[in-house]
Amino acid sequence: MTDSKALINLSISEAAEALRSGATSAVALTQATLERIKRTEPTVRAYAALPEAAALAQARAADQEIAAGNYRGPLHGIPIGVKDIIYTKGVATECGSKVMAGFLPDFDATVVRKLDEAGAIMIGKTMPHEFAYGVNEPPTRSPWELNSYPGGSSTGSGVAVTVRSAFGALGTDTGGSIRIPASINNIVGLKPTYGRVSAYGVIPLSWTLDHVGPMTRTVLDNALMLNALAGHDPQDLTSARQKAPDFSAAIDEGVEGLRIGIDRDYVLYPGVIDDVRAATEAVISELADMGAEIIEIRLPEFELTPETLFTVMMAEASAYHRQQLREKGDLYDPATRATLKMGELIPATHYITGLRARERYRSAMKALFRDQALDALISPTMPLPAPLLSDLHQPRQDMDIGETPMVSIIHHTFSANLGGQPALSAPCGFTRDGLPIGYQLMGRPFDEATLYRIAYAYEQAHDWHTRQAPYNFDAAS
Amino acid sequence: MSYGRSKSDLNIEANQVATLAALFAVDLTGEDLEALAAALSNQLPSIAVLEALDLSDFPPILRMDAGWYD
Repeated sequence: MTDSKALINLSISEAAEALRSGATSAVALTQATLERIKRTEPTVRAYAALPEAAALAQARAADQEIAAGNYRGPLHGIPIGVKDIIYTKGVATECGSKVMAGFLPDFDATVVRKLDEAGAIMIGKTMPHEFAYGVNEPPTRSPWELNSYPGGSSTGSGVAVTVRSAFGALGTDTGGSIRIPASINNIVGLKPTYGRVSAYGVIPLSWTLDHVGPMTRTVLDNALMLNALAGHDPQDLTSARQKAPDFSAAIDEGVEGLRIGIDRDYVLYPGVIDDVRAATEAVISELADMGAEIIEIRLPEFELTPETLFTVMMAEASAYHRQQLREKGDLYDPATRATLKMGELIPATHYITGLRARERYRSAMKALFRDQALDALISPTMPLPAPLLSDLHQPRQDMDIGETPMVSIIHHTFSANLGGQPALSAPCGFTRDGLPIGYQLMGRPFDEATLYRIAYAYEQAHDWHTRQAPYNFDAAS
Repeated sequence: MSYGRSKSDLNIEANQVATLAALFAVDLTGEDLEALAAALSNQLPSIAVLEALDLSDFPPILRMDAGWYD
């Protein structure tokens, strides 16, 4: 198999099979991906750095190993993007910021080392919001609608995966930064349980809320990436000691008997547009038809998740950047700089209140899962599709609820960061304007496997995830 | 950002921000002061809802292990 268009459209699992069987090579996959990058980058600007020679060298080494019978597994020879707040030895790591211009880490983040050990090809560094804060406007553009928000803060990761300029990518998620770009770009994104995946070598946004996770085109691919990433890391003090299972082992066991909760009052609040509401109800209905039990629940503590998360995140982010802000303040984007300064004015007592409110929330969530014997909660990932960039911080015109689109976007994602629970976004349809819609599953800590089971069962019944953005890169080049 | 809460009748003034900024050694321009005063004023309702919670049973524990089974 050498046709580059066919190669870039393979999923990771399909490409892995082609590599293992000798139907293609890692060099062919990497060259096809680099060709795709050359076509797409002038328009979408998903990448911050492209170490092309190193990627091809990795691919040649992978081919030699596979030919010698040393096949490492399903990521061996697969081109993967890495969010540019994650350390990559000898490859620029600039965090989408002039503050970090030219910074060359002298070691790999644990997740990069693990991908390397799995034989993956590091195809490039994907563009984030500045320091993953989500307040500036990165140069990346959405192939679904060039003037719309491409998602963030794992902006380039989401776009690269959807335009086929990476087979998968690493993202980070402090309040939704994997799941939001996954939803906007019609791909699958998982925020694992806090501590499941090492954050060593990842520039922090908020130590107690940050997560690293995979972004892929299919649910199975996501599980395969998590298999490579998960596990205890003694270099990360927040790393959990739980053993990581094979996340793909039970992925096709279906949803029969699983109990999936929904808090309609909260997750289908008036800010949810009709197309998203209908798509979410359709997912729920289909899962019920497949044998899942749908449980109506109410968790009032959801209501305070934005205030709680913002309090903790702003204080921690400002603490991390405090010295750098004084030394290189003029190099920050003005929006990021202003938000960091504001965070410095949050009193320590209020930060502590935020931590206590988080504990209150976690306690309520734990009791809910226990009392209702829940396996997962379901919601839309976002109440609305990708808004226009020009509307992002303006009050929503479609309904009088006192929210900007940016505030709406994070309505459903914050809670999993506060709880440390795993949460997954996967495609479930399109709006009448052709923009992707995603749904979110939130599970018990360290039970990512059940989320994959549910999402895989739904994915098998649909082709949403195979649909690509209408932008014609061939005509543009 | 006010996270959708109603605006408060209370306002934080630029001179109050200047005092806080001096205390925390935050370098602010006159323009920053006005912008931050407005932003912090927008935050007051959000701060108030957290402060109003009964948190007596919830110490500020930072659980680094997210497990529910310990």
